[in-house]
Amino acid sequence: MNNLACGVTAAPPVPGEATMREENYWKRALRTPVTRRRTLALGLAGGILIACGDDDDDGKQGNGGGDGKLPPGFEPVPPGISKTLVDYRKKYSSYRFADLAGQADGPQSGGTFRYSTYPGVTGWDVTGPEGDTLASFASAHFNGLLTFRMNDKENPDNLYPAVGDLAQSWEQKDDLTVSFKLHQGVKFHDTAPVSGRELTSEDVAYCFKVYQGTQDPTKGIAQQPIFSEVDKIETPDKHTVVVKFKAPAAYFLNSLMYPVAVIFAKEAFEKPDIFKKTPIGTGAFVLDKWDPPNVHSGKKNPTYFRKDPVSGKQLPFVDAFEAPMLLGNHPQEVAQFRSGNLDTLWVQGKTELDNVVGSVNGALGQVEIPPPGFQPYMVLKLDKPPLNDRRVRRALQMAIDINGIIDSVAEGLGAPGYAQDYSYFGRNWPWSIEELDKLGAAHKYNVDEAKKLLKEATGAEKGMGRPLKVMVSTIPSTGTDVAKLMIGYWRNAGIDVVLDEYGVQDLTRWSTALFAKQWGDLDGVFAGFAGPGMDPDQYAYGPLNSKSPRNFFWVNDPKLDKLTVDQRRLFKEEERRKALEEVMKIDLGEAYRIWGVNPYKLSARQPWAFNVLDTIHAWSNVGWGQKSNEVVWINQKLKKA
Amino acid sequence: MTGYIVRRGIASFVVVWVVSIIVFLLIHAAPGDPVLAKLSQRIPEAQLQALREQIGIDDPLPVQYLRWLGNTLQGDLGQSLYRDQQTVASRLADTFPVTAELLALSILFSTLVGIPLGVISAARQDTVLDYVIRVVSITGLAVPAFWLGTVLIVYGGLWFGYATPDIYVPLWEDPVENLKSFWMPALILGYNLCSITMRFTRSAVLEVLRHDYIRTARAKGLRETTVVLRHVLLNAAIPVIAVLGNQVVFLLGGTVVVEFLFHLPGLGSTSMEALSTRDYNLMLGIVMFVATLTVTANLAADVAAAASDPRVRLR
Amino acid sequence: MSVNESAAGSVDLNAVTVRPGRPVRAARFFLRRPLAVFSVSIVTILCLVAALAPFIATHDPITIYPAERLSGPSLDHFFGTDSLGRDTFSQSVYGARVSLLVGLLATALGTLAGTVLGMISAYIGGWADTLLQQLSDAVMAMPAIIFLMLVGSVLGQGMFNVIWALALVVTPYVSRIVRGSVLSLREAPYVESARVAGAGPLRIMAIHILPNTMPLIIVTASVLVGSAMLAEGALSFLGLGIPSDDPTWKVSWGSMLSPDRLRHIEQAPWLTIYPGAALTLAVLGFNLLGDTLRDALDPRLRGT
Repeated sequence: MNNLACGVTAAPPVPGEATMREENYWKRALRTPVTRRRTLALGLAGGILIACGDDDDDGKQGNGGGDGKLPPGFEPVPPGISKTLVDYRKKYSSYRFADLAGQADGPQSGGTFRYSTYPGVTGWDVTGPEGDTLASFASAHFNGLLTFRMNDKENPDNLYPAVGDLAQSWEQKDDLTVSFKLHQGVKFHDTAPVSGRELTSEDVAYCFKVYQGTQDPTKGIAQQPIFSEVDKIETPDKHTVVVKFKAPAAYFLNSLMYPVAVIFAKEAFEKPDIFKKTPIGTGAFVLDKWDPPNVHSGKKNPTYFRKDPVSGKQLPFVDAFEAPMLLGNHPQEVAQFRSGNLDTLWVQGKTELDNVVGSVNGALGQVEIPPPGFQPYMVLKLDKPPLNDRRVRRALQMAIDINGIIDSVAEGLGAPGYAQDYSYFGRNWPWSIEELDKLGAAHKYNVDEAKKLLKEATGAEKGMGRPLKVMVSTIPSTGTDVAKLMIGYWRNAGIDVVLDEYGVQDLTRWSTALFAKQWGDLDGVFAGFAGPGMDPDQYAYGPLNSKSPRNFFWVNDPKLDKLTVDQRRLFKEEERRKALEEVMKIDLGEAYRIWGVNPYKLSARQPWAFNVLDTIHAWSNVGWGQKSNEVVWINQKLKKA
Repeated sequence: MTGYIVRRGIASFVVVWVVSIIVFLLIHAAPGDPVLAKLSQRIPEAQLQALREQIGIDDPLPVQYLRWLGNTLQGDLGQSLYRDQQTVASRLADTFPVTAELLALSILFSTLVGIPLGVISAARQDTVLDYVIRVVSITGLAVPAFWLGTVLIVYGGLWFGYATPDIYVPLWEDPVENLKSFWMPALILGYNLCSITMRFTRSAVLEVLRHDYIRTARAKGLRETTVVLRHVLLNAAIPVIAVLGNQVVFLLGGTVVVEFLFHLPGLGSTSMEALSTRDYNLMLGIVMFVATLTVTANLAADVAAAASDPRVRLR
Repeated sequence: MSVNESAAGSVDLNAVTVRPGRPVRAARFFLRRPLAVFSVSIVTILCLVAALAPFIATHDPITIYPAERLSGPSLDHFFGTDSLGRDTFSQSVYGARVSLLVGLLATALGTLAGTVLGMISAYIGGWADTLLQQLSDAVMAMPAIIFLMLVGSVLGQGMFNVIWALALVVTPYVSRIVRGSVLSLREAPYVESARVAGAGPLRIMAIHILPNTMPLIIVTASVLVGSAMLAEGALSFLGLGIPSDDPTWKVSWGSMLSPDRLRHIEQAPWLTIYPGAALTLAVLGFNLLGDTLRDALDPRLRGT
């Protein structure tokens, strides 16, 4: 049923098991009980979820059915549960949603989906400097070739199996060739100058060439890293695209899931005025209003080609989405959710989740593990003494009590921070606090050792002999609290820390410091975003290769340069894993980046909104998941009640 | 008289020009690169340079300033650097009505509440009622607007499940929805302004009360209410209205925080965006617009004063 | 940011005379005005708290106690703790010090500069007057908060940077008021006679004009202190004010009302209620003090 339901034809996995985790994921999952995907699915509270997750779920995945049964071994939550992590996962895990009122009505058409978004993009030029940020908005209006699976309620992974988007099927023909077969009859939005014409393989080839940036280097800024190894793009017929590479690119297919490489029409691109103002794609929604900082909204695309992979019904379910740009104004967001204006809300902290869910009739909460790409960390000025000394960097990491941060700021709902896709190593993401030592000695809280190292390295009696000046945000979030707590631990270890705080007024000062390395007298900059990653490459080559545009950590290590390039070329999962492990070991050992805690993503939603948070996790509507707007559905009966 | 108007006109023009220099220098001195406001990654220096050239910020500052000045004198405030598909003029046209409405409603509120309170307070001078009114209204000036605003938003949601609309709709599209968005922020700004209105009404009324004609009116045996309403209020109104006019610039400052809190896309929140993204053109445009308004208003007031008082002209 | 307030609330100078202190009269004056007593006590308490902060505070306001995060008021933490477990009571106490310092220093600097410039402007006249007037008109043509945001972005965070920025805003207002009063005093008969008697401009300034302008300056400044404290709060709210845990100056009330702390208002109201109330009371105190001083220094109002 899966191939049919997913709307893709299975391509033979080539070569070997490791090629891709794509359309025949389910078959693979059944064949090999513990694969990467499987382990991910089990999440942190592995113990509980294994009991229900090690299942033969072939027949009952999907949101549409709603058989109303809890997975085996999963008890209804008793009243007045104690607030342990496990209890929270029980109370709020997406598994609970199988038993929700209104779920059994199945996906319904109609209604407007409302959520809060941010005004952080200025237009729709997906090829421009904002391409990366636009990914979160563009996927409501555009499609790529591949996307990640949604509606996968039974398996809340934090990284996703690929499914076809514009591509009906695809095949890794050999190490240097990938071919895509496109869906037929896909039409662009009926907006001039494209006016609803059909999409062909020529469009895909045209976009990919722009993304390569060979003709105009100011185009495809966000996409160039994905397409850097592409040699030639061929279009043998109207619905076939063949991509040839200069060197083996094991990361390529996964990376296409990341919705930056969306397909637009040539005639729109050639009219920059229109291209900047109006997203004319093939996506589920036609732009209605784009009025920053007020609102972003879209109306259902009547000619949309995709069917829900789970229920087989036509997408999108809702008639429209409407997103006031409230992000960054949290009190207002919470009030809007309480008044019923918003269907979903990211909350900050366990207590707030309890408060919000407790005060809104029927509201539901959920705790999800974020992917490694979203978490607070500190970027160091690696070439500035004494930070160029490995011992000093390790001391900075050692002085931080990860456990203490999890217990206080994250209210128990957090995991040791480190942005490496270690789920790829055949294990759960993320590591639990008990396994902290696997992140190396520097991640272990040891103030005495830290003090000793600092003294050895700098000869100073106290701290590192001079104040550490760091830039940190005042923008309210759990991440800010984590950063402040890290600073507090450094002070406790005798290191003087001077803060350079920036608020909403000064975001550009921060991005200038981080991305253009205009640091002034700063020693470090706190940031909170290193992803997202659909492939481990994003966490290896991305931040650690000296030539990568995502290396705003300014790591410059010849050993890492070589290793991070090598891993991109390896199709065999085992070999690639080894290379990645090596990368990780060096990165952690050198303490090139200082890590804190990765707080879980907590969210609340109204009882009438389905498929909102069930599986999308970090790919939320404000993250990289406006794609998920197309599967959201509103239970009108419940909403009226 | 004409000579006076011309002299004052030139002086006002010079003031606006000085404002443009101050703002230009300040915003360019602020660290941060407008090109990087849009990026969430590193790009090679050559690409960065190409993007800078595209929006014309790689030239030396004097060149940039003269270019801007030349265009502005021809009535072209330029493109917004951040939202580069919009002109500064169109953004001003979009955002000014929001702020103007907010100001108008705040002034209305402060007048409706502040003037009666001021009159009562003056009429009952040095009684408990006077003290209470004074403390309550002066508190309006002392309480931080962002704090009061946050409290109203959070507890409005928690206790009443209420929130003002999360999307701004222009007045001419849907007046009811529009006023729903505005009542709370106007209340906060109005409370702020109310203390000023009340205090000035109070002292103006006290001033008037001392005059002989009031004594005469009382001596005639008129009731106190009649005295206050008919004789005092009318005479006290003139200075109070003058003061209200002066408060517009002060209020404009308050809109920055209040518009942010209540998600109103007005001049205040736009100036925050302009500064945050180092949108030089937009920031200059907003400040020049406000400064021109202020200076013109002052000029009009001066001219009116000169017309009624020949001594002023000679100064 | 009611800098206009001072301008509008100015006193008619011709009516101002300064009489040497008479304790009995002063005491009676105060006792007849409960608001005066109220304002003077607030300001006095504020100054005492600020001066004795290290002795009153129970904890170091920037030391974190992660395990006690967001705990409510207790005997150990009178005002509870913040999201990093820092003691809110101690923060509030130290906050008084920084807020007061910002208010007083910014006003003092601005008033001093404004007085000097206003006098130069009025007395020298000519091109100096024109230049200074144009500059101060220009600064006043911008909404204060936008000017502060701009200056704040250039200077960056920090207590002294905030003080400089606020002083820049205060200066033109004071200078305009001083200029106006000097212009009118210059024509006064006793100044005329001093001039005839051969006194130089500096002497006339120092002996005849300044003392008579003083009451006006004092009244203006007292209101400006409160406004400056509020403006610091708004700047800190926007992230351009004083860092929330400066090793030397610790915290200000403004930085205790940052969005980052306000977001806990529901879970931990004590976090922002105390500094918010303290800031409001302090500003109220200074505003009422301004009223009181005006009453005391303006004989016309004294009778009423």
